[in-house]
Amino acid sequence: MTVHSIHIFNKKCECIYFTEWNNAKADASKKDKLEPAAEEREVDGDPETAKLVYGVVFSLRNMASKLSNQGFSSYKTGTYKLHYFESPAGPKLVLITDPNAPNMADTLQSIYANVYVEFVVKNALVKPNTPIHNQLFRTTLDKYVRNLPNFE
Amino acid sequence: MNFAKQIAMAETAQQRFVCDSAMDFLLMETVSLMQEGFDSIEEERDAAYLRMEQLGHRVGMGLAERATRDRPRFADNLEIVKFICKDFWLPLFNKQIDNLKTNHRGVYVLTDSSFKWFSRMSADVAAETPQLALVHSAFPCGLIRGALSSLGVSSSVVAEVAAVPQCTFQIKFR
Repeated sequence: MTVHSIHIFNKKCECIYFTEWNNAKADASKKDKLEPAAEEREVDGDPETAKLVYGVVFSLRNMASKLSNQGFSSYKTGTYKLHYFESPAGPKLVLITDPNAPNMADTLQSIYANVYVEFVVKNALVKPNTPIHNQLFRTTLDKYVRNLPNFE
Repeated sequence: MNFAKQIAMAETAQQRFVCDSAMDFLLMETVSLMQEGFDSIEEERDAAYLRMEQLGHRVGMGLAERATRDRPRFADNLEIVKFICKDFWLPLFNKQIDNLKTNHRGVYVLTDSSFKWFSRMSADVAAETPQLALVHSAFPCGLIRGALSSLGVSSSVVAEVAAVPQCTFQIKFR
């Protein structure tokens, strides 16, 4: 199973971080664009996709909260599975993987606790709620996701 | 009962964690408050640095008095610096200074290889981090200078950051 991408949204509904890995499905549509050689491509300027993702997540969350006590945590389609984690303090993590992924709620929670809190919240050089560019966060997140047992 | 032990016994691990985190965040915000609006003017930046250093001076004086409450007088300057490296740094950062160098003529260089307040710092461009971290070193410099002055030593302390999280403090005795 692969992890395709991750979005992080702050409380103001802006996408403050986005990374892709192994993006096989996007290669076909973006062949004409120049791509860096590495598999991982960081596109902070794909605001349309980010807005769409946030919209989907927001609507599903409202619907789920009206239908039951538990919140919305993930949904699956024929081509991908989307996992959602909302921290009590505000930032929302959205993870997109292939459809066969197991429940990633723990993974998302530990990404939040061990990567986001450590290297963004505790970083003295970063203003909260602004887009995340710093080096340590990027490398740690990348290493963490690549070390997941089912990442390929 | 010495200072560090008193602290250790009075708090549970969770209380200590909350206190440490609150202190770290408070200092982070103090530095950015001091810098607000001053980025472009050279003198104001220096004034902000000096302000933070004076804050640290006052705090360092108080901390040193508490830490040396039950100790006898210090024999010489080297003893005082060794106290800073061990008994003063320990309750503050849960570790001691990793390296002490001196030229025996009043200049001491203290190296902390993973300085607590720098350990999570990272800038957008990795190479810029040491420069940005320098403003955050004003408070610890003041801490050291305050501790030294409450022990009767007049000095000047300068910090150098080659690479985060390592930090070097240079003490010159006057």
